[in-house]
Amino acid sequence: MKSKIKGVVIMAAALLPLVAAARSAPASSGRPQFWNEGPCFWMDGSRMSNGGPGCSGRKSFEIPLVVDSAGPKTVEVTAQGATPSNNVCCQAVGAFRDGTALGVSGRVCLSVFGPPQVITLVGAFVPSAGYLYVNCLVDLNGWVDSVNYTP
Amino acid sequence: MKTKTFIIVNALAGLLLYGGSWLVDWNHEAAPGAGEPESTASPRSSGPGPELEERVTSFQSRARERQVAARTARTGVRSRAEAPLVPEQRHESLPSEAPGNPAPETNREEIVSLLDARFFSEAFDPAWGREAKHRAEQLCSMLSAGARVVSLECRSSMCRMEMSHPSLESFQGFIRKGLLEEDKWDGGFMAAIKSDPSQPGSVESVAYLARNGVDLASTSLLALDGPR
Repeated sequence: MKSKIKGVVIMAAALLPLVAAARSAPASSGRPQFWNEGPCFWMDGSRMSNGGPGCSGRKSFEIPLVVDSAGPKTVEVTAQGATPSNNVCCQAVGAFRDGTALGVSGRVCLSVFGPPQVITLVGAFVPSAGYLYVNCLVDLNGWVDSVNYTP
Repeated sequence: MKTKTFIIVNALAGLLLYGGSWLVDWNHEAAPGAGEPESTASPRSSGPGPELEERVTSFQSRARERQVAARTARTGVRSRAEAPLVPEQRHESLPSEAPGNPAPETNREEIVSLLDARFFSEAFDPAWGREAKHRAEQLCSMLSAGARVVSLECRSSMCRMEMSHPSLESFQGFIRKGLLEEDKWDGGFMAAIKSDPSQPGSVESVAYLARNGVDLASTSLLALDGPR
């Protein structure tokens, strides 16, 4: 019994770094940059779309990403747009906790339309004690599905 | 008959005592803060336990050595070989820090130094530099009243724009309006306050605007905080 418990603990300690190698977040964990645009977003299976009643144009949506370590971060956003006028353009932002410095990826848009696509964002930098988030500009009827990243 | 009964009762009592002491020992070890050293292998242990334990200890030791080596190389002044791998003084307000993130806080000066070193060692790409400078100049319209560009230069993988702002809010407003909300620059960027942000009227900042496709963080700042 004792050795089994010990074995489980050691195995957990050995596997923990592998488990922590990737993390994902549903789009519904984010929120509109401007709160008054909340009614423009609606959720379906934890995916978020700009398409609420009475809304038009591009809206900004932000998803906070919990990190465990400092350093450069690659963020993958899975998003979908039926046509170029339903595009989704995202940018990953790493920041000092007091906002006095930032390391930001370029903004990348969907280039293929129809099925969901992965937008890969490189260039964000999170300093120790800093934070990370992804910002997406979502055209009407564009979808943000989820975010994958290395924490 | 009496002897047999005596032996059986004694055996049962012995088993009960052994079982009781095993349970007490197990509870003691499982309790938080138990002082029993893990290095003493249990006679009941079998299978891959000790080997795995050794491997984990070895990985942890190597990780510590790499951390210390990276820090020593970075500072180049004082060895931290004996520094404890615990949060430093500036983290005292937090009760504890995640074990995976024991590094001291990155400071802005380190980032600026690394990026400056890269920028000033770069060659010029006249064609891209001219076009990029033109686009960077358009960002200047996003500066708030009282803010100004001190210098602007573009080389081959980035432009370096030094600015002066009347306040921290002015710097943050420029970043938000000029670089985050508007698509006026097509690549990533790094920006930092260079002076003490609490000094109003003299907030100096610098922005490194990366050429589209250039990853400044991975290529210039990896030395700061280790691998992804």
